[in-house]
Amino acid sequence: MTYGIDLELHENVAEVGGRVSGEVRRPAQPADSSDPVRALRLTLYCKTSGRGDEDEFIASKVELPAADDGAFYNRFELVVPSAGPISYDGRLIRVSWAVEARLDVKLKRDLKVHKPVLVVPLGGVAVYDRPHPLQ
Amino acid sequence: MLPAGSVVLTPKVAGRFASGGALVAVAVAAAVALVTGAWVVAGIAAALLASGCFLLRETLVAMYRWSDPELVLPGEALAIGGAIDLLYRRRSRGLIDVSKSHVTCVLSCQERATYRQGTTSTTDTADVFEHGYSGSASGTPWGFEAYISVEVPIDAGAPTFDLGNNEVRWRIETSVDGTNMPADSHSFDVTVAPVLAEQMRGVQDS
Amino acid sequence: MIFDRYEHVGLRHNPFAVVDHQSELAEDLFVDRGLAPPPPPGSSTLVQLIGAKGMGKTTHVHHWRRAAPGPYHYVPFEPYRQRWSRPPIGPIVYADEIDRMPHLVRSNWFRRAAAARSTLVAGTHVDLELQAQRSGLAVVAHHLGPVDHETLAVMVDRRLCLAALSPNGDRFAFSAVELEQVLARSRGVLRIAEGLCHELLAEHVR
Repeated sequence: MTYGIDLELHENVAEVGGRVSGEVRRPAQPADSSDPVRALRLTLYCKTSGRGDEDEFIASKVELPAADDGAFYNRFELVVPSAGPISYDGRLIRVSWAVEARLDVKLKRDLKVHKPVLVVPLGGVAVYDRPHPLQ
Repeated sequence: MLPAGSVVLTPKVAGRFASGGALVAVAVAAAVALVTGAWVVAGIAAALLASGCFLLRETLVAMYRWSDPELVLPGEALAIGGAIDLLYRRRSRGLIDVSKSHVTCVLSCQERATYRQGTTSTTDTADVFEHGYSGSASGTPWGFEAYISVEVPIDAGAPTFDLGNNEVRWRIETSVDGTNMPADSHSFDVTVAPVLAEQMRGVQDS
Repeated sequence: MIFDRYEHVGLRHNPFAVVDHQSELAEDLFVDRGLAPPPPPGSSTLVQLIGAKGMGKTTHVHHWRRAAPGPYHYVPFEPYRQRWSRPPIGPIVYADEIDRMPHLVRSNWFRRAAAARSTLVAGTHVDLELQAQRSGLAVVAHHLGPVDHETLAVMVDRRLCLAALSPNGDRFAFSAVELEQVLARSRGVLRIAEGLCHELLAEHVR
């Protein structure tokens, strides 16, 4: 558990046009806790790296309100765009996908956790193996 | 009659304009020089025009006898893995014997990465896949056509995308070989979708 | 469990991406090629870094600027009208691509710099010694050419070191043969060599 956020993905592979699902947990905070949490934001985002300037975009997002004691337990689903791009590890370009869980903390820097996701072509789960950034 | 859903592509740059335009420009320069009495310039331009016509004679003949080709795809985009049948076709002036002729398609994938330093923008490119495929041409009442089977690899390149600074492009370069055939080549931009071909999905299910 | 391919070879990422010249990382990656540093501010001197594209002129300009700060003036290729913008004057001024400046703008700048006893440090593709001397400036010229094997090895090692997951653990390294091939294919141009190293490392981790 990192920063009190437990982010778990049911599968770390998803097809374009499919969904990334999982659960996010955070235990209740002590009454005297100094980090009032406003909300939890979950995003599925895509980012490039390599020789070119970075491109990054958010494909889908979900916002969950916090309980009074700062606790969360939620299942979520984030949609992967049908147009992709898929995860890719090329010669000049790498395309990576990840889910980010970000705690919106009042008057403090937001806390965040990331989990990588492999996005494969439609029909590609269990078949599409290369080339992508993860193994 | 094309199957429903077929998509007809035209070349990126029409071959006739690329070569013919250059010759027209030289011809105009020669004419202007002639009219204005600049005999030396006119002579040089005429020599250039004659050389160009000789070197490009096959292209010029092709431009006259044949239209630019069309590439017919089974859909808007190609799928990954599995064989895809493309149709290459061209119209001609009059009946021409196209027996023993072949059309070659080279399918290629290129990564393009753009970076900026200051206000200067530079694009690095890498060719990550290239493979040739060919098909025999057969005559039709209005020209000829050839079916070529191409396969988008499952383990090279990526489906088409353009995120601004980072891009993957696919292209098909066509050329024709044979007597009476147009000695030119053309380039077509194609889209590869992030979809596995049906044949590959069958493999997965087995 | 899934993990990143670069982490599998002990790296956080591919370290051969393009680096912003003005970033702190650029200073960490700087490879000293033995050039004498510029004279102090106020020395009425033009220090030229002369070389072709990708030879390291801009890298050196920014390295010296970090050590002795001063205004920076970049002459863009486009739009053309921006080449006419007035360059600054100060105790020490840095500039890049000054050969793109219109002759009049450059002459005026050199004369003002000489009158103000400025030190100018500038990257250029051509030698401007004569014009600078006529304007009253002393001139120091550094010619940047292709790098040798040793310099390339230092650059590569520094990048791999900075991207290593663990400073003391096993770290990826190219073979001597691979470095020779990179040097040959890049003809000693660092910018091209960086791109080739990026591709080579990407192939290694596949």
